Parts: sequence; C-alpha cells; structure tokens
Amino acid sequence: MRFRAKIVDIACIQHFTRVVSTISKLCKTCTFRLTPGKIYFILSEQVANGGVSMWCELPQANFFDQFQMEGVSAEDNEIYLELVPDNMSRALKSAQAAKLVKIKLTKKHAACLTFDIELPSLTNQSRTVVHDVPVNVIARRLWGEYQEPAMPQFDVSVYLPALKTIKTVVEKMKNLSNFLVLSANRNGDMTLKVETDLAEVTTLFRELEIPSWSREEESGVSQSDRDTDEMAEARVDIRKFSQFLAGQQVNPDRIICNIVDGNILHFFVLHEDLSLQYFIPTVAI
Amino acid sequence: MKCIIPGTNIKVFGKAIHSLSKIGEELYLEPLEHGLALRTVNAARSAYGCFIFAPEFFYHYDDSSGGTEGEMEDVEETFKCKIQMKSVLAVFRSLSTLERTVDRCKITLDEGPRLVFQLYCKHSITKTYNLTFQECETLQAVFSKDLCPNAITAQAKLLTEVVQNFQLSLEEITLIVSPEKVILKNYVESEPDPSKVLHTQMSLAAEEFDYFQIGVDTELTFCLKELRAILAFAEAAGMPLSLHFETSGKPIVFSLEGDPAFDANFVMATLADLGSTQGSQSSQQQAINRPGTSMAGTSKTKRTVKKTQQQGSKRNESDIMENRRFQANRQPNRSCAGGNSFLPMDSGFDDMMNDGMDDVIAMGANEMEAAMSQETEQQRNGTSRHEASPERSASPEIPLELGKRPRTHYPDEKPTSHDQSHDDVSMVMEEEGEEEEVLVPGTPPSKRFRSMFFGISSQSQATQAPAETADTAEVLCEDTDDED
Repeated sequence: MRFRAKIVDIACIQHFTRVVSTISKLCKTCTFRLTPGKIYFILSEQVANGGVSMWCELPQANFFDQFQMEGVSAEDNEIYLELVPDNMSRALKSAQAAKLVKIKLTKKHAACLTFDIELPSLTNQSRTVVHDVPVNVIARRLWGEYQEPAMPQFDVSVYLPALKTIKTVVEKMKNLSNFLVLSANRNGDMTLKVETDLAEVTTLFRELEIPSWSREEESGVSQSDRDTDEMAEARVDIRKFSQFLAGQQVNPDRIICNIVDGNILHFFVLHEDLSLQYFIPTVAI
Repeated sequence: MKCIIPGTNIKVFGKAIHSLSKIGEELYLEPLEHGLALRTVNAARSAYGCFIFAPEFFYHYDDSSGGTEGEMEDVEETFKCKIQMKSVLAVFRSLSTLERTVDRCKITLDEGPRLVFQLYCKHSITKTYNLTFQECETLQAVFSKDLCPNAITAQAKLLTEVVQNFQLSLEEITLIVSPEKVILKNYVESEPDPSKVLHTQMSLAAEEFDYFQIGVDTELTFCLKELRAILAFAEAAGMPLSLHFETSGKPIVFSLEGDPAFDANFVMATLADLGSTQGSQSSQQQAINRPGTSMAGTSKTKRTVKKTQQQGSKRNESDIMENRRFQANRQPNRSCAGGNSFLPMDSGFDDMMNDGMDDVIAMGANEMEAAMSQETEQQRNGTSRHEASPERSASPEIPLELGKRPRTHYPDEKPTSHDQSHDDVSMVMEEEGEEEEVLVPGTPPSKRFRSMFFGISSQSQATQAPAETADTAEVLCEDTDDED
C-alpha cells in the first residue's frame, strides 16, 4: 500500500484546504478513500449517533500535480483510511502560503498521512513543516460499509436559496427549537418551520428553481404522479442542518435539496471540482 | 516611587502588562535605581517574566521610597509591592483607546495604602485608579544568559509564524537545535495514545536567524502559552527576540534587548527527561572545554574535587553535618567563580540575584509551600551561609529564586519534622550538586518540569529524594572517582 501526492499550485492548495475544512466541520472522524482517479471523504454514522451520512468525491486531477498510489492489491487498487479531518485541516492551515505540499502515507510512530509542507523563507533554504496525521487503515473486508449511498427516491427536489440567506434564518431558528421542519413542493415553494410551546415560526421561500433530473435518475415512481402543490416535509435536528450550512467553505455553485417525505433530507452540493452529498435523517416527533 | 509615562510610551507599557498577565496572576512592582521593574511568575513557578523600564522611558522617574523615611533609603529598602494582575490590567485594558486618549500616566507608590495610576487624558479628563497592593520582597529569577552555550536571535515575526503552525491548544513545544538548523515539534504526552495525536514538526535553517550560536546540540521542551505571550509583545514592539539556553532541564531565557528604554527577560522551565540529560552530559562538558569558559571549567574542577571529599566523608557523617560542610565548601568557590553572573558551569548558569526570600516565606505560610519552609529552616539551621543553600537546591533546574537573606520567620515551623525534612533536602541538594558538577545524569525520569521554582520544586524533589538516593549516590561516587 503506497500513496504519494504533491500539490504545487497555491490555488489548488487553498482549494483543497477549504474542502478539507468543510469536511472537518461536518464530521469528527471520517473515512478517506483513495482510488487512482478520485479521492473520497465518507461518513456513514450509525443510526444511534444520528444517522447522518456524507459522501464527498473529488477527482484527484483537479487538485494534485502528482498522484501515485498502490492499493492493497492489483484488483483492489484502493486505500481506505480512517482519520480525523480536523487534523488534516490543521495540517493544511500551515500551507496557506506554501510552495509545495507533499502528502504521503507513512509508517512512523503509527500509520500516518504525512503532510510535508515547504514554506517560503528569507533564505535560500525553505522552511519545512511536517504534520503527521494519524490514520487507521481499514481492512479490505470492511470496505463494503463505505459504498456510495443510492440516490434516494425523493418526492420533491429544489435548489436551496442563497446559502447566506438560509444560513441566517436557520441560525436564528436554532435559538428557538432543536428541530426544524423543512418542507417543499414541486412549484418551488419551500418553508422552514420551528415550533415551540408559545410560537411557531415559518419562513417561506418562493419560486425556487427545480432541478431537472434525467429520467433514469428519477427512478422513483411515486414522484411522477405527485401533485405539484403537495408539500413533502422532513423534521430534522436543526443543529445538523445548521452545521451543514455553516460548514460550507467551498462556495458551491448550487445546493440541491431532495426530500423524501417523512424520511430523509438529501443535499447535493454542486461544484465544478467536487461533489458532496449529505444526508440528514428525519426525527419523529 | 513616582513616575510619569509619556503618552507615546503608554502602549508599550500596556503591552508589557498584557504580556505579563498571560504568565502570572500577580504583578510585582519594584522601583530600582536603573528603572522600574515589573515582574511576574506563574502559579506553577515554571515561567517568570520581567520588564525593566529605564528612567529614559519616563518623563519623570523617581525611585525613592517616599520622602518621609530618608534615612531608610538604601537600595535594599525601596518599597516593593505586588498587585493583582486583574486590577492593573483594568487600567490598561484597551490599548488602542489609551494610545489615542492618554497624554501621560502617573504611577505613584509610597507608604500610603494604595498604588495609584493616574491617566491624564484629553479634554482634561483624569482617570485615577487606586489599587490595593501587598508589600513583598523582590521577585527574581536565578539565571544567567551570558554563559549559555546556545544563543539564538530571531525576528519576532519569524517565531510568530513558526508558532502559528501549532495548535492553539498545544501546551508544550520542543525545541531541537543543532549547528545547522532548528527544529520545533509539538510535545506529545504519553497520556492519551500518542499515536492518535497529530504530530507537527517544523525545521528552520540557521540562516533564518539574526544570530545563531549553538555550542551544544540539545532538545528542550517548554510551555507554549508563555512563549506566545512573549511573542505577542515582541511582535508588537517589532523587536528581535533572543533565546539563551543550555540543555533540557535547564531554564531557557527569552530576552528583548536593543531598546535603551527598556529590556525584558523571560525565564521558562524546561522539561527534564532522562534520555536527553544523558545526551547533554557530554555536550555540557564540551561546552565547558570551549574557549571562553575556561574559567568556569577550572573552577568546576575545583569544585568537583571538593565535592569528592565531601562525598567520601559523607557516608559516615550525619546529613546535617554534611550539609553544613557541603555548603561551607561551596562558599569559597562561589567567590572564586567571580561574583554574580560568572558562576561556574555547575551552578547552572544561574545568576544569583540575592534578593528577598520574603515571597517564598509568605508562601511558606500556605501549607502548599511546606517544602519551602524546610528549605528556609535548613538555611537557618544548616548554615549561616544561606547563600549557598537555596542556590544549591534551586540551581540545576530551578531558574527562579527568591532571595537568600537569612530569615528569621517561622522559627517554630515544623519543629518535629525538621530533622527528617532537613535530611531530605540535603539529599536533594547533593543530587543536584552532583548532577551539575559531576554531570551525572541523575535527573529522575518522567518528572515533568522539575525546573519548577523554589518551593514547589524542592517539595517535589524532596519527595522524590528517598527513592533516588541510593541509586544516584552510587553513580555519584564512581564518577567523582573517575574525575580524580
């Protein structure tokens, strides 16, 4: 098992830092999967811990100038590591003005993902910072737990309004209640609602765009005969939702929100260099 | 004491207080002939900070202890006090505001009940802060920069950039130096699984430093929080920071020089661990052999010889007697070593500032400082040459020391436990002496920050002593024989 990658371009370094920082805000530990073409950050929480899951994939060529890897075997040319994304994010914080970042899998005091960062200095010799992010190698037999989640058969799919707007609204609502009901219909109406014993606060967004899904993606049968005015709703832990909104460091082009009525919220963050999916299960009253 | 700080200097003064406030809870204020000293020490006594603002810093500076007692006005008797850091911080809270509005600041300290800060602001507004204080003795760390084999000077900005690579929550940082480069690492404790922790290491070429002299390759670990406090000041002042250090377990001194109006020194304890002590042993001898420290070298040998005699006789004698002699032997050496700062290597480069013990004594009152009072006792009982004893017990790893004048406080303190404690302390002193003089790696393993200051350290060492004595005594004899 071998892995070695290099980023030289400062824009790529910063972009990668933002991706990692976003991931670190979404989960405490995650699985870092390496394949020859792509890298992934995967979270699949146990239902007991909230059941949130995340799937983030980045084509390595968008970030790395050099990317060499050798998986467990020729037919399973992949590496699965468990790590704390916050450590990775801290390591990359050193690299904000770096000339070069090398990432490699090393065996030091333990298995580590080593970030070897070369910084400019006042002299000819560079300053170097080395961060060893401890990792656990995930055995081949456990890989099955980290498969890409299937696209849910959603009832309603809308583009979220501007991130900043919705973030402010949710931040305020967070002070009122622990749960938020997000509902939307196929006309592009979306409401965010919190309830307390004394008050019910609803924010209504209108005329949101509806993403056009191709036929095979819209595999669900139920949705095609759904009334366009009928709201699909999901009651979720408001902290998870707010965490997702607040954690976005990558300036996504759009965020699609898919609702499976009474079951799950699925966010699809669209960006030219990466895709991020985030699933928040509903909570019964 | 009365002094007036001009408006242009108020920011520097305030920054100094901010920086000290990140180290200790109390601010020790002492008007000296050559300037106003602001000092602090942290609760663990592992870090000490001192600013001395020269008379040039002020519009007006008068260090006298107040006109009423002219006859008492020798240098020793200037009025010193300590105040709560919190209260003085309140005066200098918003530096940007102070800088804009304050025309001058008057500080008055006399026999009155309050230390008075008066801020003369624009529009004839005067803000007066009357702070309660406690009378105290001088707080003074024991250190000497001049004999340290390793000295580095770096721009504050460089060090700030280095420190930024480490997590804010990180407590201790390890500095590893060699003649080519400097490496800084986060110090990882063995407590939670070290293999689960992010390890960070940064290396800098020697050329990045303004001044770089490494006589002894070494590795030392010290607190990062205090370093950040120092850097905050140094960066604001735009001054280069000098580091003077020896080996692990010996204090590291950070100093800001170059401004005639003030200078600042910070002394931090470093972690002593067995491995690196052994490593440092030879290097320390190397250092001694280097030109320029020959005087220290010779006096060291002398001392070693005396020490050997000492050791030989020791076995058959009572510890108390031993201790007396021990100190008696020391005394001449001290003077032969040439006064204050040019002590032989073995005294740990610790500059002796013979300042008051009062503070320690005051702490002796707290039961936590029991060991300190033992030391005091010992000083009184063991010998009248009190100079040697606290230094002995303090010097190898204890950079801070509060004076060594004979005290007569607590005459009846621990009369029953006295012999016992005396015993322990003297043993401890031996070890330490041996450690420094004969350079045997007698540092006990895994005792974090043995370089604590006075009370705490002697306490902890006293408790360690019985366990170690047998072992180290053996080594000590062998080694001294070798040297003979």
